Amino acid sequence: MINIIWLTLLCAGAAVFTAKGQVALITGSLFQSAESAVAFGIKLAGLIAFWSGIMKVAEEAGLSKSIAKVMRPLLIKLLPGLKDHTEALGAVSLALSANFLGLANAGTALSLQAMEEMQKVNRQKDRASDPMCTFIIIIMGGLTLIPTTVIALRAQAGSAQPDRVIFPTLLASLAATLFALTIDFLIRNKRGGCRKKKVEQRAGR
Amino acid sequence: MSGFAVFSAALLPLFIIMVLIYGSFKGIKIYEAFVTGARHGFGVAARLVPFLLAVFLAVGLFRDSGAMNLLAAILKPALSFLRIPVDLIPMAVVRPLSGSASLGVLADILKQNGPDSPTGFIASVIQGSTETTFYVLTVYFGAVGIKEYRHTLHAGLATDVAAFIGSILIARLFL
Repeated sequence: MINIIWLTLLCAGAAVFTAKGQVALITGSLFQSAESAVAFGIKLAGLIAFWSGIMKVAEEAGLSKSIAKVMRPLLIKLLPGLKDHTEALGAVSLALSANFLGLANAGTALSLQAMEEMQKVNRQKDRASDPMCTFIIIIMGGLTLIPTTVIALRAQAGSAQPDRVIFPTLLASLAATLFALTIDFLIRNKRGGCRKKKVEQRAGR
Repeated sequence: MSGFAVFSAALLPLFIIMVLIYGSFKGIKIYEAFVTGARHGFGVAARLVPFLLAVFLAVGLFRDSGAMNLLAAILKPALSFLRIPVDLIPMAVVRPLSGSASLGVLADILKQNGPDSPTGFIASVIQGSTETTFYVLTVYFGAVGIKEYRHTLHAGLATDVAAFIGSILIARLFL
């Protein structure tokens, strides 16, 4: 699926450029994107490294364990697969909190940290585990208490009440997150038996 | 700045300082621990770059060529049938693909319609309550070497549609 989307985006882009008679611009666009991907990666690297450093301190001090303990009752219901993995639970709690509070960059860095912790306890390293799927789906639901970036943009555009969006955004993102969790729950329970079949299919190919 | 914004701005520095003080209180060599963690973080970031590259290439070409606008134009009849304001269509197309592009679209909508207009308000709610699905998936899974995404892509795209429609309905209640 991701292969198809990727191919479609690239082909559609190339086709539209060609149809407009601007074939020459294709390479330019590709090189420009390549450059900005690396530039973005470097910007992200600083942030990720910074948060990894801070989280390492928190981990050694036993802080992420205490945070995990507080969040445990709620998180275990959502991510039962992490029941016995305190470090992963701690990382997930922090990542979800950062995302919930609308701290976009810290959210990304802490979420990657959480993915790492969950990968440590994942049995099949190239396949997403159940907790990983649920975690990513919660993130995609986008539950947000304070949409900081949007508020800043609105203020910049001269809004009389830039933060009037807080409550509707919270409601809308809560609805989306519940929707996402329901889908996740339904698919996982329906597909429980399919897992084996898929593995066999791949082995047969 | 509103109370919320101050709270949000103060939160991270407070958290960071608290972690460092608590760590040294617990007798941790915080400097060494920080450097060890940061070194590990750079490894994660380095593994991420190929995935960022793949996403940026595809989304960049799709956007630069005008194919993104074309898709928005194709979707227009269907969405206006559902009484979704025409100005919001680029938002629906761009949002799952690129966070920075959708912020650009939002800034443009706010400028054209005014931030407190119904369209500006709805667009703000959409931006705040949806996620960059494509990017989240490739980057999060890419960083730890997951190749099989299972149902997350489908669930993510379905959630995008639901969040888009839900945001419009909910935002209208507050107009």
